[in-house]
Amino acid sequence: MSEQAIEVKNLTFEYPDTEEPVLKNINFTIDYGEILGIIGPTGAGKSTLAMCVNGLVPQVIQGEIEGEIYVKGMNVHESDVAAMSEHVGFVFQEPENQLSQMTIEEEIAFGMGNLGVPRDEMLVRIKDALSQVGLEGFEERSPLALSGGQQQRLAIAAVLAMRPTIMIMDEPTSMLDPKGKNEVYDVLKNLKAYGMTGIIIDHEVERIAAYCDKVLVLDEGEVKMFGTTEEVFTEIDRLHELTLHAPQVTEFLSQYNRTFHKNAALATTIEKAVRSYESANK
Amino acid sequence: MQPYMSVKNVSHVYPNGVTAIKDINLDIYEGEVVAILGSNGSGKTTLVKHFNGLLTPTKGEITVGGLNTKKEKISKLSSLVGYVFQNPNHQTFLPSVRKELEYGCTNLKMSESEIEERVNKAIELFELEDRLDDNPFDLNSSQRKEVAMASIMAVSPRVIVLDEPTTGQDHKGCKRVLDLVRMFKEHGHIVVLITHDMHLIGELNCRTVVMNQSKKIADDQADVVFSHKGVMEEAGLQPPQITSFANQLSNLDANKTYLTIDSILSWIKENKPNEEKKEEAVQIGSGS
Amino acid sequence: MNSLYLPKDSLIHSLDPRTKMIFVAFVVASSFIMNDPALQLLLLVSLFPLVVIAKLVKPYLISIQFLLLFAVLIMTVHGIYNPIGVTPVFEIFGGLTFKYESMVYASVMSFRILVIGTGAVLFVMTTHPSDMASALVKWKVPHSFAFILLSTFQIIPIIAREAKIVMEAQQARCLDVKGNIIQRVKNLVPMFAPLFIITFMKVHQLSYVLECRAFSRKGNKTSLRETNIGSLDYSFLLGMLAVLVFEIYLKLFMMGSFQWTTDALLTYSLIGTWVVCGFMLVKFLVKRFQGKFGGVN
Repeated sequence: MSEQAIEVKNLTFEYPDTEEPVLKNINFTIDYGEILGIIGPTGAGKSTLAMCVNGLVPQVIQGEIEGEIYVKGMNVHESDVAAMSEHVGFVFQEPENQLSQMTIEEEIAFGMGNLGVPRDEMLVRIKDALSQVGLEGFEERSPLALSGGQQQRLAIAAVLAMRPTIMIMDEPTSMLDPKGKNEVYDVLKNLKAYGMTGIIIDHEVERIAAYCDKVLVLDEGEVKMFGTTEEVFTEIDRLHELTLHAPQVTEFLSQYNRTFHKNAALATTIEKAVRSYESANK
Repeated sequence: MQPYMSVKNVSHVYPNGVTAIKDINLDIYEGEVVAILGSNGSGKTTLVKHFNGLLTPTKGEITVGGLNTKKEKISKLSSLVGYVFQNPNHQTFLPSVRKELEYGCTNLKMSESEIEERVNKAIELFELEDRLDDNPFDLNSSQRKEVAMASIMAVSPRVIVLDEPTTGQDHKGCKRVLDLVRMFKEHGHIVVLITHDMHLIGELNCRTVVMNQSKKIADDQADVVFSHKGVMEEAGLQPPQITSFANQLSNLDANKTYLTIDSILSWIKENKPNEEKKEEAVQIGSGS
Repeated sequence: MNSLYLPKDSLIHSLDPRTKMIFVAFVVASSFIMNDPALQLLLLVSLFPLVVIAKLVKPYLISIQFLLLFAVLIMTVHGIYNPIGVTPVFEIFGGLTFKYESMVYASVMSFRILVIGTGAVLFVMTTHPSDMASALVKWKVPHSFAFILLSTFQIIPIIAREAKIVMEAQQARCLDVKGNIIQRVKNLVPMFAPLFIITFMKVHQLSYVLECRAFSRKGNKTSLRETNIGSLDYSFLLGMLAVLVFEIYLKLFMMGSFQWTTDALLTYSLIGTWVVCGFMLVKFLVKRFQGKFGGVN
């Protein structure tokens, strides 16, 4: 099938109380099994764009929208958020604000219950979801008694149990401590290994570089760059113009080349960067 | 030299019986920038809340500017130790930036002229001239964070405590925090940073205290702490990417810990004169 | 723990929440049908075995203490001052006379509070809030209402924690929270304004999350927690019905044929509540004193 997992066509969106659109003529596609990283300065419209994909914008957060978004070939505008939730899962920034139930198993069951999943099936999926995020044995505990990293993993499990094809995560680790960040990214790595399709927003470019297949750079509502991780992060000058930066190793290689007039290939992960540096130094 | 702030053998046990910090000793001197690292629940925040008297030790003693925190009002201590909370929404609530700046001084019942003088100083420091009449809630999150910071600085405390100043900030915001910390230091303030941001600490290469399970497990210059594998692992910390990268390079000084891109580049410049020569050669070559 | 629910393995716990809700209604109804102090006392005593069955004797006694304070207040104040009283029963401190009619009135009121309180405690402590919510849904109560009820349990401890942070955050801005009354009233603004905004933001965020969890989806919903009305429920319901019929029979045909509400009973129950309250007061003071004493050490 030629259809893409996510297809955004000429998307423009404007909030009722602003004069300028927050999103201007956005176009991009994501194939099944691909993970897209969205980066950009604060206020660039990253969250708004993510929320357009599952219909939260404009159905719940209202405004004027133009253009089309297709998820698995379905037009998001013709569906509603609740119906889309079976296909697109959304994880928010604040772990605690996503929790509403008394125990962890009920938290996971909540979304499934709304979808009308039978109880026997629920029990199976709760077990699966908990093992996917490494929270086995926590079923009866209160979500409020968990650490931030555990709460965010629980939020991911609650979304996973609804069995969406696509996961969207809006800065899922920015409120967490290093341990919590690692926990969450470990879960994400597992999901990637299972072929998850997703969108992730994060300011930590090192993580994006290590984790995503493609990167989209958003600035003032416009797509400034879009391509594979390597393509985007090696255009360092362009990133700097947008007040962004590449992973530290890429920045280093670029500055190294400039200072010592070398031409080490720019790499975006530690392993590749070490190799690139060593070979330029022979 | 006398420390400005002195934590002697301090433990804190919460009413529910949980020991949040245990036998902490820490002297902080004039002009220092001190980063406090550790995972959530390690006792960082509990420790720092002792600095302005929000908590008093259940064992041990703390002096700030010569005052015993047990015997002073929180408002008095807060005029010496400014504590900027992580979430500005907990702290800011007034309808304009100017009112936010005046608020602390008003609470301290300063005279009109003194309030104006201090507020103007803060306005200048944070370059807030154009935003004075803005409602803090119309600003974006990093601007609001800065207003909260400015409102604490308006009281002109000796010490400024920043709780997770870069959390949720973009690259520009993080850089701004770095500049502000350096500026506070230049203006003679002691800066205490509670943070998870290893890039920030790497850039500052400041004194770094690591907390883990209620105890202080390290207290040294950042590069020394970051090179200490045991401590880093115990506290669940990862150095900045550039540090891990430098550790794997074969032609650098293996005994040195590099925290920033610049530190590697300047080391190469100093210690690999042939690279420098090559550079010149290339330049001559390109010039001809 | 963020609700009053105390998980135990008991017959009462395993009843369907709906049965228990009917039970609460039954207790309320009974307390109004039997508007005689002696009968209410009997009702109170006969509810106690249920508390024992639910294995909640200690938590019950702790929570009922507070209701007892009300009871003492009502019985003492009404007993002396309620104008319906005519027949003096006994006198204290010279001049303050307890009168029979007012004591009957006050006893009925305060026993009713205790009876209803016991029923409510039995319900709240033995019913998981989620079960209550799903039982309500089975009774065609709108899903969103049941959810609001349930999430209230969740948000209260969060708001309490946020309130503490806001207070500290304002103290860090040199706000003196320990000032005089006027100062304290003024402090309400810096306390409540941020708290309100933060709570609002949290609830707002949660509403997005709920949308993403298909909360507004039409159609059948399922629940992880099963609540089923079984034979135990039916026998319990039948028992309640029988007692109710008996109560109505008593009320309609037997009133006046027995006289249990004597002066002695009224006096003893009044003194009884005083004694219990006095005991509580002593216990409280001892604790305070110990706390102070321990603090010095």
